[in-house]
Amino acid sequence: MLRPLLLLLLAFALSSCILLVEEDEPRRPVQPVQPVTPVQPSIVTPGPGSFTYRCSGGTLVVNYLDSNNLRLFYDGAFQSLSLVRRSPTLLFSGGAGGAYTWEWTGSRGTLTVRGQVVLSNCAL
Amino acid sequence: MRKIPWLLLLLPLVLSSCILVVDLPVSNFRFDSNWQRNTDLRYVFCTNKTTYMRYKFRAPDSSVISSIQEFYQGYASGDTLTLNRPITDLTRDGSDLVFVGIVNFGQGQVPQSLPAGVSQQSIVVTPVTPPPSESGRTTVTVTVTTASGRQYSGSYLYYVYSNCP
Repeated sequence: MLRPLLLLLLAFALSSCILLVEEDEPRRPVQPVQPVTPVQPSIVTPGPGSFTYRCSGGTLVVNYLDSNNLRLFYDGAFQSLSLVRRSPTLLFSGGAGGAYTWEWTGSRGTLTVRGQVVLSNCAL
Repeated sequence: MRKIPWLLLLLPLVLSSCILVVDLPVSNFRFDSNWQRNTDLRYVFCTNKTTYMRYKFRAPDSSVISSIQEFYQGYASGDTLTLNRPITDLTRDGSDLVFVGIVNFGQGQVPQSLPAGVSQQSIVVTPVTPPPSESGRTTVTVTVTTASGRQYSGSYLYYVYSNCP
């Protein structure tokens, strides 16, 4: 007696169900992706102009002439250096006998003379 | 008649023995520091050490001085700095007026700024064997102007070293 009633109720309940089926979006054509090469942030050459750095060991005056050339005063004379490397740090080399290098990290500098660090931790 | 030529002859002789002493109100500028290069006894600056600069000049009467100006010129940087020095920053030592200051080095302070109030007794001159690392030269010129507007000045070239021992 009860069975037909239950079947009737079940049919009624099921008819109120809403079946939501998401349709897949139409696939867009995929652009070919270029492989990304990691880029080192480039260090900007200070200047142009004259800067007096305070270093461990004393002060150093560096005059940046352009992005590739500078002049610093050491050993009682002006030493002219040229840019030899731009990454990972700026490296200038030259002076009397090519004995001088000035390395600039973007915030700190180091002066090396004949392979020996003479002024380090140079900052403005 | 004969006496007149004799007198004329004597007069230049007497006048030539006169010595006119004019005491300048400001004179005899002298400069030093607490670092002295032992090769030629020149006073130098050491940028890696505490460095004092001292200048003095003869000025028996301070009341005639209207202003004191210091002018610093850096040879390597080309920077210049002009400072007006209050006379109260100087101390009297007999006939001399003396100024002593600490020399600060670095960007914006080149050639240097000299805080006052350092006693001249704090200067103990230390001989230094010059390192090869001469890294600059600073010319200091002091100009004293008197109440009459006359100017007197003295100058000194300090060689600047890093890595002083």
